[in-house]
Amino acid sequence: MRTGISRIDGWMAALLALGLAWMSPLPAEPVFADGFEAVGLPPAQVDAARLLAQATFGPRPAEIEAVAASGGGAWIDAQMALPPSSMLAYMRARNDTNGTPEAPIGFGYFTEAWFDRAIRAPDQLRLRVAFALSEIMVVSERGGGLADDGLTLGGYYDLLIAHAFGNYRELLEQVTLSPAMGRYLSMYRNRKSDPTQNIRADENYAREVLQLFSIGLVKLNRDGTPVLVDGLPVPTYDEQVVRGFAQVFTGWACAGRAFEDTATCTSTQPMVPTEAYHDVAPKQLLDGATLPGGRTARADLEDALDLIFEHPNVPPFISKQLIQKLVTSNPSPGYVERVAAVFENDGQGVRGNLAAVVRAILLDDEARNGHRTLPDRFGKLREPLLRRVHLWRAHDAVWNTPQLILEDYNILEVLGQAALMSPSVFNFFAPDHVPPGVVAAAGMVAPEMQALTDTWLINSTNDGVNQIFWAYVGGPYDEDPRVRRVDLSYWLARMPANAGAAQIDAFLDALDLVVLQGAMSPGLRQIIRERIAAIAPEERLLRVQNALYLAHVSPDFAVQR
Amino acid sequence: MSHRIDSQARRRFLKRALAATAGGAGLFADPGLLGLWPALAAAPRGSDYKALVCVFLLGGNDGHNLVVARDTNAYATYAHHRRGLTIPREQLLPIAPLSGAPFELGLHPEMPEMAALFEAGQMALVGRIGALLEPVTRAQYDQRTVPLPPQLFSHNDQQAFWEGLEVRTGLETNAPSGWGGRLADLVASTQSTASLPAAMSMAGSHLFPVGQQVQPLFVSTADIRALDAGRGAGANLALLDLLGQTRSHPIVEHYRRTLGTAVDAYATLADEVAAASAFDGMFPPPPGDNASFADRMAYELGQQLRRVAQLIERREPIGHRRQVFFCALGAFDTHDAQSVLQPQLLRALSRALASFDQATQQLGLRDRVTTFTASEFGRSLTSNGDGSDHSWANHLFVMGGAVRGRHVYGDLPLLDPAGAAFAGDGNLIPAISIDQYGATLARWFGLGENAIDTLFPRLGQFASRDLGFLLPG
Repeated sequence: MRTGISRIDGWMAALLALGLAWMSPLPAEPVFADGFEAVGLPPAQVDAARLLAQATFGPRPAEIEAVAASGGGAWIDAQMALPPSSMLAYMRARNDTNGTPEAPIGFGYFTEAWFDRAIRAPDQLRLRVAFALSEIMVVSERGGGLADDGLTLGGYYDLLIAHAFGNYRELLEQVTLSPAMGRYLSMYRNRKSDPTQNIRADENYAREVLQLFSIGLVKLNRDGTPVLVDGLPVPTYDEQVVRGFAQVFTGWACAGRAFEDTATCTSTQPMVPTEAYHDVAPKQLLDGATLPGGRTARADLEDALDLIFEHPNVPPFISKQLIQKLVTSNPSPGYVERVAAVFENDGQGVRGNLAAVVRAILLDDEARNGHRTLPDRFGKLREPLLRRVHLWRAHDAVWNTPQLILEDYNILEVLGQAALMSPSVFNFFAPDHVPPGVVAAAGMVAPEMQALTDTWLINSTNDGVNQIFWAYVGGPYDEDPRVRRVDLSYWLARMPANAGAAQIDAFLDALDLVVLQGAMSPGLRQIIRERIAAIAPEERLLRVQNALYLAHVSPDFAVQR
Repeated sequence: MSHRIDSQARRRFLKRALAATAGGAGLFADPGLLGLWPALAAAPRGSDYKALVCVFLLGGNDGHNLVVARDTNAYATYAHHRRGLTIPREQLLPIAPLSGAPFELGLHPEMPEMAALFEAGQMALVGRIGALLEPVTRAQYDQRTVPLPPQLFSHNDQQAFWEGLEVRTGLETNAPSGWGGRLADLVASTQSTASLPAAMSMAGSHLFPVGQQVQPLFVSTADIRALDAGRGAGANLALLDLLGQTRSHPIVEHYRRTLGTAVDAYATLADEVAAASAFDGMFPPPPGDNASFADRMAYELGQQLRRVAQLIERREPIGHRRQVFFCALGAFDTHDAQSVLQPQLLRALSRALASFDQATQQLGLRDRVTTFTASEFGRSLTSNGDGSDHSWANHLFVMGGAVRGRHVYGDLPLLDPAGAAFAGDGNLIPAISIDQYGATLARWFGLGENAIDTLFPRLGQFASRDLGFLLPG
């Protein structure tokens, strides 16, 4: 669908207009205001829309109304009480393997389940947090021999869903022992060192669990800033520690099979230990802690994970990344510290309560008011995948068939991002990515920009054309089951034929609220208004399409604030 | 009828981006540096073209299996320390270096094309190269008495160091840049009418091509599409107006600028790629449903190098006399199943590079294009059962008509961890630095010595300013 449906009409006129526009001399550039000036929108609705952008796969008009009425806290309570969705349940139903839970399933069914759940499932907050976790504790279909292994990967994602509001310590253990992670970072069938054979324990999982899933490379203050000694950051561990943890993570293999069995571990069951392959040497771990020799694989694992869990870096390290994934790329140190404090103690003396952490992230004053209090700092780029589902949710995407549409199959090519398809354990983008230029000059990071290459920028803009001008209900693709269409009736209802200025203003207000969560800049509003005016008043559909398109490809939409 | 936006218009953003280099600060304020291209400035347009092509082996290629000793004793040492990872001696592809080999050598058996290019003098090996701030001995490393690059064994940190050659603590206020991008910054003043930036990545977002002044272009290997001029044409004109509005939020503003630049660049790219040769049949074909991993990876890298060849071919219309390209091939992090994976990766690498060598011959530019490999680190000598772990120094190679081929530069040590080449913890210590490798490439590219010292500020720490693997100018 990406190619083949574009065609040229009215291009000559366009080119002419463009040429004239460019010929006029360029005035010195004024800096345009950046949104949230709209006085027409009720604050409770804007707050509801912003919360839904942060905490779901995209706001919908009815949900904005509901959250505006109930308040954010009550909505979070209700979300957390919902039963968790399961990817595997969907996948098994589609694969007709409900009777045989460990039957292999193709990965295509996972992608199908992911879109279905992201767009339609009621437990949006849980799924949104699970998606964030999948970008911190990364496994990928594109590596570790996990190609097309939907069962193992679906099981991993269900684990993230199940523990999204659980305890981080238990999550860490489940992740560590999952066959997906075991295979991805080669802890699976990792065996004890054997000096006579010049064989050392595999360091892969040991290194990444420390660097990426828990504490990071340098010591952190509780507010997420690095501890400095003589002006320099302090490493959290060295090679000896990595080797110590590598020894810890030995002896684990596929449940129900011998350690020696080299057949692929396609499974949802946690790995199990075989003591003969576990390294029983004493182990040097974090900050001088050691484990004595001669212990079981499970005892070593439990104690080593406890050591990680108790490390003072974990609360700021995990809290800050969750804030960055949900709310803002550049949280103030105070924001990180407030959330980290909840991670340390949820008020009931529990460390690592992720439900409390998520609630603290979303209800923090900076999350709720940062767009006003930190107008030139607050917010984050929408991830490519989330841009797409935001659009589909905002405009009621319609399925003709449960099967993956062409675009889902090629989602990685189209968007440069797909769930559980990261190019490496470092995710599609790093939390500290600094694009050169104005972001760097402001001393900020913009992690998602790492995924937004020139190629992606052009593709996503053109895909916006495909989605809005071609793939809509009542359009040329109504009979084509390969195309997911958007339903524009909500917008058509707000764009009567021969709409007057007040009606167009009301339309723009709705667009601002639902698509942009109140962030429509005066400049964007003016340009959309002019574009609407340039289209014949009876061309309701074309007016709606032009307005929606400009909103979705605008820099205003690119940054969630 | 054209799908594109009028060329004068589409250049607007790009020109603005490039204009930053014209009277710029930093590197460009130094008159000594501005004089560093005397030959280039005097040369007529279209002559004196050169390109550098970086092929980054992501994940850390196991150099111990790229080139292997074939002498009985040296091979026995290798085999003893690499249980489960050894290549049978008789399968190694014999090569006969004219210098630099301490013992008989063989290349990995899946790289016959590279072995042939080596023997033909079009390829050279660079042994024991790695991340260094200054020379390091075994004792100095073991006792930590010399400064070392930060986080030596971490993928992302070492990719950043390799590509950037900057020592960063994370506390800096300037954005990181890559030495390919900084090279392109220096080039910019000599090709100010160029319609595309000189540094281009075929492998997505990477640091190497990011400059301090000019931002690189990320080029797709798939069909190049300009901004839609069909049903979206009218709205896209309005979008261009919107993209003319400067914004105060830095991330919004960055997005605005980047989208504007991409709109212009992809309009140009669509033209140039459409006018370029297809190089039909030269690069590895699209993999079928049952294609091997090797076939898929060969296609992936081959498509990147094919696009590079197209951009080289179109250098004059683009206005480029110097180009810097970044390509990458992934999955070299062979902790597991190395003996299954690495042969296929090296097979893919050898095929794709041989295709690219053919393409440069077809363009008549074999001696104007130098291709060099990179990888964030080497791998452990010891096995972890069926794979190897992160380590330090590595063996790499360079390819092209300007390469003094069929030689070994640097050091290929006996693989005995008790030797001085190895640290007490078993990691191979680099004998030569990335700065030396980069400086050698940059000198061939045309940089003067002052500029080289600016680009590679640690070069003075090392004995040799030029590793000698490239012919002069």
